[in-house]
Amino acid sequence: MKQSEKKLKNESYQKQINKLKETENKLEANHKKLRNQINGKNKEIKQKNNLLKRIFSNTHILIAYLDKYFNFIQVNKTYANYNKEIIDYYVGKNYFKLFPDKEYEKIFKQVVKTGKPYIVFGEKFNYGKNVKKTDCTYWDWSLHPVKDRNKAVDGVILTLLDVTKRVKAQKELEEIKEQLIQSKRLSDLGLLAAAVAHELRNPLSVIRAALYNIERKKGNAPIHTQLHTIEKKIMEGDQIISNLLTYAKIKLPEFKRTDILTLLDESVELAKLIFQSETIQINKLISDDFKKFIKIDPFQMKKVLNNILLNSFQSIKKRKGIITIHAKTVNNVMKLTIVDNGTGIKKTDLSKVFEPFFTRKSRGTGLGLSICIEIIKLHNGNISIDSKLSKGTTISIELPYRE
Amino acid sequence: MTKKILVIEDDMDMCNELNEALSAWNYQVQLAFDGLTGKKIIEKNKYDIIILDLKIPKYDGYHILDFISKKNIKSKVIVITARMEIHYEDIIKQNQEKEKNDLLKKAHSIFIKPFKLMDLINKIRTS
Repeated sequence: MKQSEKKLKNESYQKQINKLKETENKLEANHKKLRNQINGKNKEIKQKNNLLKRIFSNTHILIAYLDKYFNFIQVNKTYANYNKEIIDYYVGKNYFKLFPDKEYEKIFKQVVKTGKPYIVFGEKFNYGKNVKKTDCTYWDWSLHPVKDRNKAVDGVILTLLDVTKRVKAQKELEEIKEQLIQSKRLSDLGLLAAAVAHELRNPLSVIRAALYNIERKKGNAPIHTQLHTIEKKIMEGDQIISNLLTYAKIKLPEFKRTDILTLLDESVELAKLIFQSETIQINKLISDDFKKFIKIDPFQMKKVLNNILLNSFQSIKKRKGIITIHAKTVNNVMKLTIVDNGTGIKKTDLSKVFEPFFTRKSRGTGLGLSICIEIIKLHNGNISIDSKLSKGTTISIELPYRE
Repeated sequence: MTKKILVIEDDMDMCNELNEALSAWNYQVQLAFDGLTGKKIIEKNKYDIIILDLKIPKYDGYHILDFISKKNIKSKVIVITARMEIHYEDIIKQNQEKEKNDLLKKAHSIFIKPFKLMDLINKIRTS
């Protein structure tokens, strides 16, 4: 081989080597780049993992991850700390071996079976070993299913949040609310007394005027009209006083077996006497299966019927009035409906009629229907009102029969 | 000359008693059971005395007092009322009641229920 040939060959080798080296460098660079990328991703994953871990362990919510047989896979620090254990104490152990409870086992199994989460708020939960029966705790707790790629339930996440303080505060709040209502009733009483003084003056003034006329006529003229007026007005006054007293001290009913139809008749008679209305027609529609005997407080219920019927009579002005009383028994509940064709109530007033002191009458304490609702509530019953202006009013009462 | 009296009062029983007593004293008595009717009657006829309850339906007694004063009606108004606030409550509700108090000042006299009918009649006799 010639020198020059050799040289050429060497040069071409050299070139190839250079090329290879170049490629190698390139590969190396790529490799480095990829490695960097992987490292970066790894770092990212690690960061995300750490983040999740931090969230998992730094929450005040107790979290446990169980497999579908309820063996602990992982718990968070809060969960472990609650029972003063370390995390590893739980891992691998079965939930119901640690905390046996038939009821919860049923719920847990249901979640695995249906794949639907179970969530409750502020409920008693017998959690942990240090639960004393006297010191019950309340929890917002949930059990969420974890599903695998085939959407089959693979495990469950149990989260628990101790809301005992909140629930107890709520209970206290409710007690305070109750007391407030009580004290409002007392302050209502003050107003009540003023209303009595005011309202009694009206019937009393009529009595006094009637007495003047009796005095004037004494001797020969017939005085029965005045005597009747006096009786009427005394009863009107009595009605106001008794409404006030009833409202002031509505107490727990004393249940007695009572014939409600007799009570109704008595109330109708009273209303007729007070309003002297010969023109108002009373219809009674009693269904065949109506059970007229019911355990109620007869005095309180009389009050209710009086107030409703007096309202009906009062609402019927000059034209021919009709009051229809429906009575029936449905599913062990007594249903009474009193329908009148009186002046009715404005739609905007309808929601206020059960509030104490609400009235659109020029005379009246505005207590009649408040008393009714209070008494009916104490009988575990219902009262509702429906009315159309210038058409009439319907009052419906439902009373449960008691054993 | 017989005095003509209009009674505006929503309590029919009160109206009847007043009617009977005043008629016995030979007064001519007209009755109105609400403010609207009262107003219509006042516009049509002349009365020496108007006996006016304050708490009456449709237009209340204050409205009637205002109406009488604005229309320059010469009748003497005797207010009859069971309202206690005429005495003290107006002090509490000053703003609202001042207007009403001014209206009440236009009345010839005020009788608080239950008043003695003889006192009212004496008032009418001397008016």
